Amino acid sequence: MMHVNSLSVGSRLLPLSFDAKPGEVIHVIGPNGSGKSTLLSAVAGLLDCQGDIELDGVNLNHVSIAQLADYRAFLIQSDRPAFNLEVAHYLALSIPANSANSAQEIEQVVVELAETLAVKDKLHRSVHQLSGGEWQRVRLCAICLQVWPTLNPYAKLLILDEPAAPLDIGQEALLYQLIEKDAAMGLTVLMSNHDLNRTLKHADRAILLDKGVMQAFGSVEEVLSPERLASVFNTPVQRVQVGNKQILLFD
Amino acid sequence: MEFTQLIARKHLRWQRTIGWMVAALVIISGIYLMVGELFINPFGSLSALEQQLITQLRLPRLFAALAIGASLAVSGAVLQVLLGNVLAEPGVLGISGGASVMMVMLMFFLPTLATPAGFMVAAVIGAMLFTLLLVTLTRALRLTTTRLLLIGVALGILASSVVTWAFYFSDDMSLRILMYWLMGSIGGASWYQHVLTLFTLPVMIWLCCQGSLLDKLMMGETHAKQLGVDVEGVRWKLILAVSILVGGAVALGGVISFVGLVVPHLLRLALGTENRYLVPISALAGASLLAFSDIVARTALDSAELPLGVVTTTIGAPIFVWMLVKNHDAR
Repeated sequence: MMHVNSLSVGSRLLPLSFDAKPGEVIHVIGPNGSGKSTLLSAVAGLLDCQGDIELDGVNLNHVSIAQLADYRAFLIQSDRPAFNLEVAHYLALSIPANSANSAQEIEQVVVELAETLAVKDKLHRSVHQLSGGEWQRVRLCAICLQVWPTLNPYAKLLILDEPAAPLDIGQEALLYQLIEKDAAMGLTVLMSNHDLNRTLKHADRAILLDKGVMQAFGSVEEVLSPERLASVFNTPVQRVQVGNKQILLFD
Repeated sequence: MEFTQLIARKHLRWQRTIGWMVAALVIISGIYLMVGELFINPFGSLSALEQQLITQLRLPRLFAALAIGASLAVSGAVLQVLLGNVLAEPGVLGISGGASVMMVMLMFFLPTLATPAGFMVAAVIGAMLFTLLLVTLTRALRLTTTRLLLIGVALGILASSVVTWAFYFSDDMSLRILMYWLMGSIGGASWYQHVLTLFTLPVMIWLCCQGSLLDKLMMGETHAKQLGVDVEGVRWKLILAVSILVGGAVALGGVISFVGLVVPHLLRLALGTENRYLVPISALAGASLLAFSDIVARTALDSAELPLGVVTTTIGAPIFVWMLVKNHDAR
C-alpha cells in the first residue's frame, strides 16, 4: 500500500494526497506543464519535496538513494546517452544489485520482457542504431527488469513518465500488456499519460492535475467526466458509447 | 541463453584484449630499456656503466612514462563520462594547463615550497579548479560538444598566456623548467620524483574499480540516480580523482596532450563502452603509447632528444581532427 501525504514541490506542485494499492494502475493526466513530471519525480525521490511518501510502512523520505532503487523504478522522458553501448549491456546495468538469482533465471526474465516488447532481436545492436520507438522499448525493458518481482523481492512501485510518447499504436498495445503484467504481479504502477482514451481503458484510478493543483482523484469514470476535462483542457469533450466501449471525442 | 551468451562473449573479448595489452606493454618496456644512445643487449652480461644506465636513467624514466600515460588515459576516460562527452580530454580542455599555471605561480611566488610534493599539490589544485569550472559550466549551461571544446581551448589559451608572462619575467634556470613543462618531457625523471607516482597509483587503481558506477553514470545523471547512484557525491569524488591524476602527470612530465583523448576513444570505437574493462585497458594502452612515444622522442634524432609532448601531439592531433570530422559524438 502506498500513501502520499500532502506532497508539494515549491509552487510547481501544491500539496496533494493520494493512496494506491498493490497491483493498481494509476494514471496522472493533465495539460502540458500541469506538474505531471514533477509529481512523478517527487514520488520517485529524485526531487526535493515536502510531505510524506510511505510505501508499505516505509517512509521513503528516510531511505537512501541506493535503497530507493530497490523499491521503485522510474522511467524518465530522456534523450539518448552520449555513449554508444550494446542493448544487452544497457539491460545488464538494470539487473537488481541484490538479486541472488542464477544467470538462467535472469536470462528467462530478460527474454520474457524482450519478447513482450518485441525487442529480442535487438539485444546485440548498439543503442545509437535504434529508432526512437525501439529505444523507448529497450528503456522500458530495463526499467521493468529493475523491479521485476521474481528478481527483486523489495520491488513495489513502477513509475513511468509518458512511456507511450515515442511509440506507435501497435507498440503502445505491447506497452499496456506489459503494464498489466507488472500490475498482476503486485506492483503499483504510477504513470503519466496523454492519451485519455487509453486512461479510460487501462487505468484503475486517475489523478487529474492542472497548474500544479490536483483537480480530481478517483475512479476513471469519475475523473474523466466530459465536463471536467472540458474545463481543464479548455476544449469541448464528448464521451460516447461505441459497442460496449466508452470513447472520448475531442474537437 | 542469448542474453547471457552475449554478455559472456563480450567479457571474453575484453579479457583477451587485456591479455594483448599486457603483452604489448611488456614488450615495449623491454625495448625501451634496450634502445637508446647506447644499445644494451639484454642477453649479454651488463657492464657497470650499462647497469648504471638502466637503474639510474632508463628505469625511472620508463616508470615516469608509464605512470603519466596511464594517468592521462584513465583521467581522459573518466572525464568523458563525467562530462557526458566523448571528446573530453584533460589536455584539450585546458585542465593540464590549469595544473601548469598553478605550478608556475608556486615557482614564482612561493619558491621555498617548490619541491616535488609542493608542485604536486599545486598541480592538483590547478587541475581541480579548472575541472570544477568545466563541470559547473557544462551542467549550468548544458554545453554542447562544440561549446565545451571551445571553452576548454579558451581556458588552455588563458593558461598558456599566464605561462608566457612567466617566461617574460623568468631568469635562465626557471626558463628551462618552464620550457620543460610546456613541451612535456620526462628527460630529467629521477627516482626521487616517483614520490608522486606513489600518490597517483592508488587513485588510478580506485578508478579502475569504479566500472559499474561509471557505466550507470554514462547513461545520464537522472537515470543513474534512479538506479541508486548518489550522483552528487560521486561527481565530487571523480573530480578529485581526475585532478590528482592530471596534477600528478603534469608535475611529473609537463603538459602532454591527446593521450587521454585518443586512447579511450579508439578503445571505445573498437571494443565498446564497458567501463569495468575500458578504464584498466585505457591505463595499459596509455602507458604503452607513452612509452612508445618516448622511445621515438629519444631515438628519432641523433644525439639529441625531442620533447615527449611534441611526439604525442604529432601522433594525436591528426587523430583528433579525424574524430572531429567523423563527428563521433552523439549529441
